[in-house]
Amino acid sequence: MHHDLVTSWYDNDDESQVTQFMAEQTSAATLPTYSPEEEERVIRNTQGVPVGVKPDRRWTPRRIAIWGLITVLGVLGWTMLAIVRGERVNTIWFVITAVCTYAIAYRFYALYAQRKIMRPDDTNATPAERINNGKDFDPTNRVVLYGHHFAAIAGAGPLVGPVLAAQMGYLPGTLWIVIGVCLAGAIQDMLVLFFSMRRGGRSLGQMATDEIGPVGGIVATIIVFVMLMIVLAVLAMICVNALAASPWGVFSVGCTIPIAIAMGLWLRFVQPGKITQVSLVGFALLIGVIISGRWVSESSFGQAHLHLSPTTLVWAMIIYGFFAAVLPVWMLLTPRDYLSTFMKVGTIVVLALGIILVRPIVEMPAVTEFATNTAGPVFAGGIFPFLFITIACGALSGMHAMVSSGTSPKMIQKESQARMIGYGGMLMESFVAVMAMAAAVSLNQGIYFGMNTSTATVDNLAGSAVVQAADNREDITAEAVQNLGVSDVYGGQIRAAWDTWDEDGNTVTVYDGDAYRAVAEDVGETSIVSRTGGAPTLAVGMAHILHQVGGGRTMMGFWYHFAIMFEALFILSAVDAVTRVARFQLSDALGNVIPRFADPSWRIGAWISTAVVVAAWGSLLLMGVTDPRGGIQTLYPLFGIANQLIAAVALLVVTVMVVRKGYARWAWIPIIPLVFDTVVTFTASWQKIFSHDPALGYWQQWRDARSLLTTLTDPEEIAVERAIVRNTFIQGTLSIVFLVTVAFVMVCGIIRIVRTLRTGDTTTSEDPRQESNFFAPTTMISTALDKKCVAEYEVVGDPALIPGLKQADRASRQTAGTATETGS
Amino acid sequence: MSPGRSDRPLGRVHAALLSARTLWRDFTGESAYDRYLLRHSLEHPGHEPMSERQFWRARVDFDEENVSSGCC
Repeated sequence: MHHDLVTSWYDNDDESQVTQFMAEQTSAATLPTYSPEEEERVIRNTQGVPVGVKPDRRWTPRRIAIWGLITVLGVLGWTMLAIVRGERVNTIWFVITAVCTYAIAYRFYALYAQRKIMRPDDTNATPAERINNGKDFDPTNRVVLYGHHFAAIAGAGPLVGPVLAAQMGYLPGTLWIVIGVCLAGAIQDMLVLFFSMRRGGRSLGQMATDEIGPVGGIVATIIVFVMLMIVLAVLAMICVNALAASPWGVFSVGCTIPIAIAMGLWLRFVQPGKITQVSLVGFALLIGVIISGRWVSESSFGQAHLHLSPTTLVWAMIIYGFFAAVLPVWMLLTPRDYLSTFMKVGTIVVLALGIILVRPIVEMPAVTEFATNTAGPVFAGGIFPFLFITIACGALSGMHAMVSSGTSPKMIQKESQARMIGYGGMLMESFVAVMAMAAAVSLNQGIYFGMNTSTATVDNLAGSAVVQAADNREDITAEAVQNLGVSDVYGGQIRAAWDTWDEDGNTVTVYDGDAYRAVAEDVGETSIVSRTGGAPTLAVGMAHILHQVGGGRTMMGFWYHFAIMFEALFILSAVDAVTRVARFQLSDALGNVIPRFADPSWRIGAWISTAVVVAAWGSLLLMGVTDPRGGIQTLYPLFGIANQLIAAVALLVVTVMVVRKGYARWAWIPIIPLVFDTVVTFTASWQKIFSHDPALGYWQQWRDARSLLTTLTDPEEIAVERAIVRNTFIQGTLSIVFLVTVAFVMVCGIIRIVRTLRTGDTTTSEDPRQESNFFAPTTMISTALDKKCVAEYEVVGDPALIPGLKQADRASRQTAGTATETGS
Repeated sequence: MSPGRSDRPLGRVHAALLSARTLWRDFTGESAYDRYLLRHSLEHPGHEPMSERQFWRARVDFDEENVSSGCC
């Protein structure tokens, strides 16, 4: 029966086996002919098999014209964004400027870094080619791997950070996202990917141990683990803030769980392997629940049972996280990843199209007052250092070092593809961040600040008289926003304004409290004021842009909840995947003391370590959500510092590897971002620990709350201050621990660098060279010469590595004995 | 260039669609079983490969302990 299945599959679907190179496939007898110039550029291994192509570096008039045009457009874009004043900027300039800058950085700087410190060698086999086990080590088509790598690094981070940073105006954030990614984030991702690839796909922690010694490596591994817990807590908090008191959101996001489980069951028991069909049905169901969410939220059931408090949602998240990490992956994790990937691709395409079609006007000034003072309501602190930790993903993110030293290096086909995957993948994530910034700054400033100022701060700003007189949050917030001390594009007072529709369908503009109520009604929420965390703001921004493309008012609620849904999906994916990974790490570590923990099939052990991991991030999450001063404001800086400190560790490991390789002359390439990131994170940590400004310093807040506590009698106020004392103590302690441990790891790294420079010992931890016997193009779009080489490889190459060869061809080749043996 | 393509005006479009389909199937992982069959026939000719169901179970069992963490 089985054989029938195989045969019929090939009979019916023969041509689907043809790859993108199909057009170039020749019959086994004919080899392509190369011109002498082409033959010059083909890299061959000792058996004469093509394994690579040298890049064509000639400057033809056409190339000069294209790069000249890109440069001119880029300069024009930066001029529009940064220099031209007095007029409001169109968001299309964000897109043009970013894309041109990326192109130049990719073509010139990334290539320079590649030539100087990576020096890829396509005659050397990658781990994927060497090990090629059909599981994790799997030479994967570069276009597919680009998609995988991007889907793994991009999540809620690049969407949230820029929204929060928009309080300083659009320019500081945009500059950091675009320039930061070129010089820091993409360099980090590319180098970590490349060095891990040269080391059999080893993880960052293992590389740290190999390169800077066991003590530094173990400390780095432990601290990265703790930082991951903070990262998870803050991501989960963003999700909780977006879903609190939102029956529509709770219903649609909650429905992803049964949908994913149904997909998982179907894929396991009914149609194994039919991923696309099942995902499409799942995606259609998702859209269905988003649409029906309005009806559910307006029903009495929705109002009674889905109107959840933040604390309830925290417990739901904790229970969910536990089960997602202990249940078999096929049941929840894998199918939800399919949904999440569908949403990721869909959303990014939709957002890009929206911005290009609608081209909204920027409402936020280039630079606001909050760039220079520490009074910003979204997060405290000035532009330096806090902008650079608020926008992490999108510019520089330590978390990416995990992905770049995880699955991707085990799948890469050729060494020379590392630039496209590592650098190119990060550029795409940065582009997502730029679009998120564009969506946030095209919102009315009054709406933006009203949504992103926590309830406690709103009450302070409005004053107790207003708070007592008003009977709703919207009017209090409108009053508070006017007292923010921030001005609009023309230097005037900011005020909430929103274009909506009256009963007859005519467009009307409403102001202040009415504006907040109109937004809430248009997007189908009870209230939108003080919805901190960035996700609801981005969702309103997206709805604001996309309803102009199609659907008008009726579609606004859909787009809002579509945006909430994808952010929640990203976050839930991160929560359960990282919980699971952390659980394995913890089990391994515990296995050194109690050997039974090392056995992954020991259920109770798995449950205990999962419970510990969930308790770790869950308690931080609970602390953040119940924080009297607003969890985003207090915990987000810690999240940013943690993420950027991981980046510092990754860049340090990279720098050590560059020096130990004997390329100290070019070590400045990773040292630029390393030094900048170290200065940023250490200054931020220092201010968080030692600052006497109560908006900034955790310990100043702790002292203030403690002294206030002695004067209070009202039990409610005492409870609030006690919570502040406890939370600031935990946050302050974590800041100190992070700073001290990373400083320790840095000292270990610097000692290693100095020792290497002194002894000149360049023994490397790279895997020994093994000759490559595989050809794959380097660039995203293959050149004519690439196609010729592919055609030749299909005749002379290793059948186990030829992509998409027909089975019959392979079998005949196998019997003809032209095939070389598969490596390992 | 392979003969036969020039007399099929839709050949290029057809090839592009096919390559898009292959890329998509590789991206979602759907093509994994087919690739496994090819490989199995090369490396262990004459041995019965796993059935489709067995293959996907084995793949999931492997994933069970090899979760790749996504990102922020």
